[in-house]
Amino acid sequence: MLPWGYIGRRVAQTALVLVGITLVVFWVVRLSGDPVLLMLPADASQQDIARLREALGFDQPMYVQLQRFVERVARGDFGNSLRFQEPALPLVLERVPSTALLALTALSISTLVAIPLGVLSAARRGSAWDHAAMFAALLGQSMPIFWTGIMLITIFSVALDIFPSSGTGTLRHLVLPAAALGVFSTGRVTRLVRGGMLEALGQDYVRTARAKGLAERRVVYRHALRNSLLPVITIVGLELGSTLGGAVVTEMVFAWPGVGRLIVSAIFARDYPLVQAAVFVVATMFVLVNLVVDIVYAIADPRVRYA
Amino acid sequence: MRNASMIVRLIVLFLAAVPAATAWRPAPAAAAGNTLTVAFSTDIVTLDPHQNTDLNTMQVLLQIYEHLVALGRDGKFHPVLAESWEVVDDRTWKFKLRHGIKFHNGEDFTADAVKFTLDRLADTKDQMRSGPSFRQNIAETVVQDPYTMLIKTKAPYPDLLALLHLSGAIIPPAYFQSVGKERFAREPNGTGPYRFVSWRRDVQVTLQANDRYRGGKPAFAEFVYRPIPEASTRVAALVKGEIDLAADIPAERVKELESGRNTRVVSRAGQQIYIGLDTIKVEPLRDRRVRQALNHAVDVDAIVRDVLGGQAIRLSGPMFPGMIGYDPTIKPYAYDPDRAKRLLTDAGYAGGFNVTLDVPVGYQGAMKLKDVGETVASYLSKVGVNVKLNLIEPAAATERYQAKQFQMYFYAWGGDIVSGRILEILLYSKTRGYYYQSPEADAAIAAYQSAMNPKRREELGRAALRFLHDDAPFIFLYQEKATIGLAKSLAWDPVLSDQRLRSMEFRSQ
Repeated sequence: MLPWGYIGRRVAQTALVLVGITLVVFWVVRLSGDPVLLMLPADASQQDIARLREALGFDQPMYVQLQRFVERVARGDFGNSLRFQEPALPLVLERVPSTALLALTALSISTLVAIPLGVLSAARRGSAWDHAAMFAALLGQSMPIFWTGIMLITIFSVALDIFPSSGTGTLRHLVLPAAALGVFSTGRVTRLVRGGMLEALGQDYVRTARAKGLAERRVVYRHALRNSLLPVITIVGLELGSTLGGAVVTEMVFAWPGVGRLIVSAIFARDYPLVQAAVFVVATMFVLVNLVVDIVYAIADPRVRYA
Repeated sequence: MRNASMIVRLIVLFLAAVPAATAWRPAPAAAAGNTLTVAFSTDIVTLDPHQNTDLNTMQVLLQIYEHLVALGRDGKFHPVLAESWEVVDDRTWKFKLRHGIKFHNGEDFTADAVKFTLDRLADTKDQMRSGPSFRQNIAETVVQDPYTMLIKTKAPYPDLLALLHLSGAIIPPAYFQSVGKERFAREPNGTGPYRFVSWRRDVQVTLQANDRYRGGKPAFAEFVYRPIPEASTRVAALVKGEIDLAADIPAERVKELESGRNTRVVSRAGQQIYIGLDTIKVEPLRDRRVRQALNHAVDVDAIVRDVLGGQAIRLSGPMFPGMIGYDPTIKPYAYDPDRAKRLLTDAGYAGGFNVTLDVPVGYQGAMKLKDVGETVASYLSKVGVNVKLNLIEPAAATERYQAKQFQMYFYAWGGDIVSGRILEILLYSKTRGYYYQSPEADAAIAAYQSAMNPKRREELGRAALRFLHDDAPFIFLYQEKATIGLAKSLAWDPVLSDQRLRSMEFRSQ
């Protein structure tokens, strides 16, 4: 039996959030400046400027522009990109796979590195291992992605010639940007795993496990790690947000053809329709994931429905 | 319970990424060796040459399309698709066209193509983005026979050749009409040395040599354009040999590339940077002596040397070296703070005054505007002029510029550094006149812009530059050098003097 009432409420909330985001973006990009002047060459006359403004509907009052915008968006049409003179939404959608691939690879790398590193540090607390790992974690968190990216290119691409410096096309192109993007969250997750492990290792059940003569290895991995992983999973989920944010910088440094790079160039060009479409797509991705999660979760745990 | 929710969240995300990952396919590797790969900071914007106002986009379009004429390094216009031309009368030009040229799809190049192109650019309904000057100046185009063409202008228009060189890419009428403008913008078709293959946005544009090119077979089988936004990454890709040419090398990386084992650096004429002065509303700046004082107060040579690492050429006025009538004997204002103070005293501003300087950081990729602005402000403070720096975002600057809200402002003029349009647009009161209106300047510019006799035009250009130098509507600064990094294995013999690249100028060495 599905909790239909709850699902209905959540879907309605989600739709409301998307409408809200779309309207806010509509308003904010219009505050940011006039795109028409950026689209014409220097020799454009006042008439040229006025004519283009009229052709694009920017001479209309804000509420008329908003009305037209809402009517179009309701039909799934975000208008043509001012800069590329093509429909905006497909321009954004074709970038989504690239950004998703980059972000998820980065998150996977950071999780795969952080968990063993954190466990090791906690298990050998105070050792040189521990200090080295914590120093590395601190470093990872302190380095801006921009700088990490340039360093990775300098070392692994230019000096050692292992990976291409930028671009896309093969799996080898993915390694450096994903690593640069993953470094930051690796630091945070490592520290968290270590903290969780230290707490778990001080618990009674660990002492009991040791007392009954279990191998230390088994104590650490079977008993302590499993109990300390739950908060880690929470954090990894939250990291996805900051990873998508960091993807903007990473995509610029590594010339990766993702949504972030598209948004940056669209903002600089005051390409209203493209900014609107891009923000809408990114927001939808987040909101839909949350919606699906909440629904599945409500099915799994009835208490949530009444919360 | 929050944790369990996160697990589900992650699973959903990974599932969502599966189709994403499978949709992602590696592009075929470029044929090694015989490819010319160039990298610029931004992706191209469109493949319709008449809808383009972007210099980087031009670098691709110029390999696919050709114009009637091209301006050479010698400052003369050379025939390209035109064979010859003559001025019939003040408002009529006659062009003889080359025979036997075909577009990439096999369509013949004739006067119909020229007429179709120019009519499209001059059309007031369609409003091509690179069309303003065509709309303002071209009255009529007449096909006399398949290889003879008349272009009639509304008024005497000596800059017609410059306009054709800059924006008049010739397109094939039959092809355009059969595919329509949307597909034409995706699948361009010109007469140039390379034909279009593919464009993957923000990844690369791939072109293939046109073996039937009239100028001979191109030296490279393939031409690849890659957008790499970050300058350090472009430099890394060049050092590593992934690309053969990297545009916009930052001044601080020039030495390293110059001394590199596989790299070298060349510089090209770039955009002009000046500080505009509101000579209409700001009381002190209405006085010519004050404007001259500001020019004397700033040590531009030191700025070029110390702030820009020598990557610029100092200018004496609003004209570029190479423009018709540019006069090298007119020297830039000497750095002379004492003289500046005397001029200020004469004008009644012995105690100085306060003024705001707007700095659009990063405007048109201009180098180090913030540093230059700070240096200018400190020079001006030494003669008593207190400058408040106002850093603004470039797009906002364009708007405020037009709304006449600036007192002093940085401005950049690039792209067209050959015709007289810089004077006509920036300093002729009837075009903009936002911050400067002078009957004498108007007369000088109008005369220069309508003189059909080249010798006379030369004289009038010198006169205009002399007047504008003395009247000082700007603090004249410098012309940037556009710095380009090259692989040593690449020989480059540039035909043009500006930043536009022609693939035929390159070969391996």
